[in-house]
Amino acid sequence: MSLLQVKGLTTSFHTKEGTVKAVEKVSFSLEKGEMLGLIGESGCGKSTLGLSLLRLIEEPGEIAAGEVTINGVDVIKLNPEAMRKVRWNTISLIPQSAMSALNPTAPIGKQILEAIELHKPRIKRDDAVKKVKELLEWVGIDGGRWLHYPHEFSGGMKQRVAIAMALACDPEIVISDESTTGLDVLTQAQVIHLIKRLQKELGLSIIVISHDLAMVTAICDRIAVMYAGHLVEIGPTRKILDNPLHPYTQGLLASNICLDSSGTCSSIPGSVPRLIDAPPGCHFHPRCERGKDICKASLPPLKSLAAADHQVACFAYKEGF
Amino acid sequence: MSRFLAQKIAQYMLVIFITITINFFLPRLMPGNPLIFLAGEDVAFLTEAEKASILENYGLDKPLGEQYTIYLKNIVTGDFGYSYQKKMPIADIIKDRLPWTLLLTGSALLLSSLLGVIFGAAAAWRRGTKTDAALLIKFMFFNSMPSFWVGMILVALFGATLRWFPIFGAQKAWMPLSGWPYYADILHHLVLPLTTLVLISIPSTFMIMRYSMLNVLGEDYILMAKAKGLRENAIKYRYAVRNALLPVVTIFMLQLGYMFSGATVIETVFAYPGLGRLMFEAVVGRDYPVLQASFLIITVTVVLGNLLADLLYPLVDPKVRR
Amino acid sequence: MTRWSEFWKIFKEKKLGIIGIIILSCFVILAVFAPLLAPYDPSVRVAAPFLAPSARHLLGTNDIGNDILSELIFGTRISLLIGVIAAFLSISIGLLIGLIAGYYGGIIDSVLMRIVDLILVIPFLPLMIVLAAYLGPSFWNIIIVISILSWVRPARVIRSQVLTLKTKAFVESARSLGATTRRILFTHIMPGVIPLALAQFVLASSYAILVEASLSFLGLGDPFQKSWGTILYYAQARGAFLTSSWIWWILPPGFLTTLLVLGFTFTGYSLEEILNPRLRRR
Repeated sequence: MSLLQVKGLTTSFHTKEGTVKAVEKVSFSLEKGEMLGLIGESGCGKSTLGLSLLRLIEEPGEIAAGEVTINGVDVIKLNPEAMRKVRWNTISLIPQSAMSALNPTAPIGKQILEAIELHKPRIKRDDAVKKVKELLEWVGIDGGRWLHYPHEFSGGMKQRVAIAMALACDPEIVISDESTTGLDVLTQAQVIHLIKRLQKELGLSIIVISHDLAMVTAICDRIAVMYAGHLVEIGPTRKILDNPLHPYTQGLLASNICLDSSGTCSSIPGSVPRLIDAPPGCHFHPRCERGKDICKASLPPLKSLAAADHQVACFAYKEGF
Repeated sequence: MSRFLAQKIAQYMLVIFITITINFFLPRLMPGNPLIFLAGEDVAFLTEAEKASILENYGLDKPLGEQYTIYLKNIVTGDFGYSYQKKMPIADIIKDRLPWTLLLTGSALLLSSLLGVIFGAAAAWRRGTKTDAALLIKFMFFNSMPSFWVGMILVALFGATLRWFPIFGAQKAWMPLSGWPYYADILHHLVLPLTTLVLISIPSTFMIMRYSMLNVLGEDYILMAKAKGLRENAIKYRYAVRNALLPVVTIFMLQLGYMFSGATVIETVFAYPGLGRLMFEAVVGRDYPVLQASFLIITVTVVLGNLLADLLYPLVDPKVRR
Repeated sequence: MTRWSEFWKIFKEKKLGIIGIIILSCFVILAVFAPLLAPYDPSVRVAAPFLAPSARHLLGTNDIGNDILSELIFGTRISLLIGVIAAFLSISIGLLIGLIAGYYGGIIDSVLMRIVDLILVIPFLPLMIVLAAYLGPSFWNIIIVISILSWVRPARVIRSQVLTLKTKAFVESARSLGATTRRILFTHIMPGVIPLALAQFVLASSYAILVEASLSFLGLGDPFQKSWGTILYYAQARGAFLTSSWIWWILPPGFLTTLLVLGFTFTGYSLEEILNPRLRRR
């Protein structure tokens, strides 16, 4: 069985203007030691998906349907106290921007320490501190600086502190949410290298959420493509690169669509629909050249087509193709 | 850090300097008899010879620059002049009055900050709920009441009608007490004015704390704290309240001036013998020199309070430490 | 025009704001129609002093035999007028200083903001008392004293708004090359600043009314044009809180002040909530 199994996950936000399904009927799995890239434009719901896995969706949002099974346990059904224990112990997060993800009024080491002591109540203070220093050294920060405050570190160092923090309780799954955004190229490379080491040296399963197509294809084993709340294609990186099936993925790879927030270089007419008045059926059909009548009416299911491990949600392909 | 402090001190010195300058020019710019504006209305009861000697003391015939130097020198040496209404040197009057104002405003500042922070944090934590709305409206209401009116109602209810608390003064004048009864008596007199000042001062701290905490709750590190599986109370106090406190401490400066303004009117209601009541007495008797001296001393006190806040700020904000 | 109607559409949904507007309208009606609504002339001795409430004098009479209810109704005019005029003057000064500081920036900005910082440290009420004592008690003197010291906060708020608008406006002006300063100010910056100035004006009014009440209570109000604060000054001076007369002599003026200030606060808070998205519920 897979380490992580997501089935029909739907996360909605109830706003004044109506209900928005930021993530709709998303299913995929993650194996032990695997690195999965989750890619899509900003606002497509990829970060919401990441937070849903940790059950960190806040009012007015909620996880409306679906299962998130980790090691055979559906965490959606856990009570809040049990869920609290799953967090960080089993699944942890490297946040979007470490600049603002560290508490400015607490020393960095203590922020790692509190996670360790919380989840391992019986650990001795000295051992916990030793572990904090080891973690810092592992990400390339002088362990002696564990009592320094966040503002005393550079942006890249803070990001590495965030990685050390994610490792505090020896989790099995780490979600990296746009953790290289906003860093300079050199620092980005260091952080990516570090994330790769998590997989290689520690054997962790990692979900890399990003809009940086080049980076994701370079380091991930598999790629999942999201568009407007839907998972439109998923498969091994090689297969996605060589044989993209979904028209949206094809557009991405042909550099027809830019994943930056500016979105100015898109040569596919139209833009991401506002999810509140998302068209029924396939959300991509207004921009799709191959759109048919059925695309407007109903949602294409995610199906294995060419190969068992390569799935696409598009009516352009017939069953058993 | 030290540069920041030096800048602050320069700013505060300038404030005191401006206050003194206002005090110097106001009576000299007023049309009419300068003697009254300089020495107060009660000089009218003096003989012509006495009036002439007072005028000479002020040296009105000398050039303005020289007058100003004399004025500054007097103030620096603690000579605030003489009150012809109270027939006492003004410095002595102030020495009697200042401790009472410090007692009232100091305790009110501590209490109202504490309560304002607690309620503000509670409201923000439950943002959008009925508790939040109820607290917000309650404190808006408190904020809309004239401070002296709250005092008058408390006096009428708990002083005159129920007789639980004394209706004026800071201690029993005719009964010399010592030891515990002495302090108990002072506390007994302090309850009503203190309650009034706290009631009207909570809202501003509450509003700042609530707003600041709402901002903090939207920060990524709060989400991270939840992701780490921290318990709700740890997130609330160690993360949210801790960080939301920073702007509250910075705003201390405005709060202090506000507190003294409130005390001025409230001391008047309770005939509490502080600087505020002194100002009221000076207004009624048009005792201008006393009015000016009280204003100066209040300003200096506020400035010193601010300086203290600046010195303590590094304790709460690690960014400005070392 | 559409901007304003859209603004009103959002405002209508704010319950507090609507309550505020209703309260304010009631007070305006009370002030405008005071001669019709008041049973007596408040400046004329109409009965014996210190009367308890009766059918003829619903709130009794004061120490010199004036009808207290009529005093209150006419007092609405004074309290409301002083508050609104003082607020209007403070906002006008604040708007001017804020625009100059924000628009020109540089040395002008830092000098002006340094002055603002200095004034903020000075305890405002004691200074107002000193000024008012020298100027003497009168309707206009109170207004001058309040507005001279109350422009500071609005100036700060407006300056920061101008700073944000300026960056946008310059992009715009670069396109339409050769736009004059006046054109940029009036077509780009003013429309963005006016709603904010309106909210600040409403909040400044509530503040000015409370300050006026305090100054009048300390005996610095115009004795011939009694505001609610002045009524309370006389009630305090005659020891009304020692007898049961506090119920009709002290309670009503303070209650009216609270209600009026609350009306302004509710309205101003709702306006600010609309203009400042950070205050909106997430």
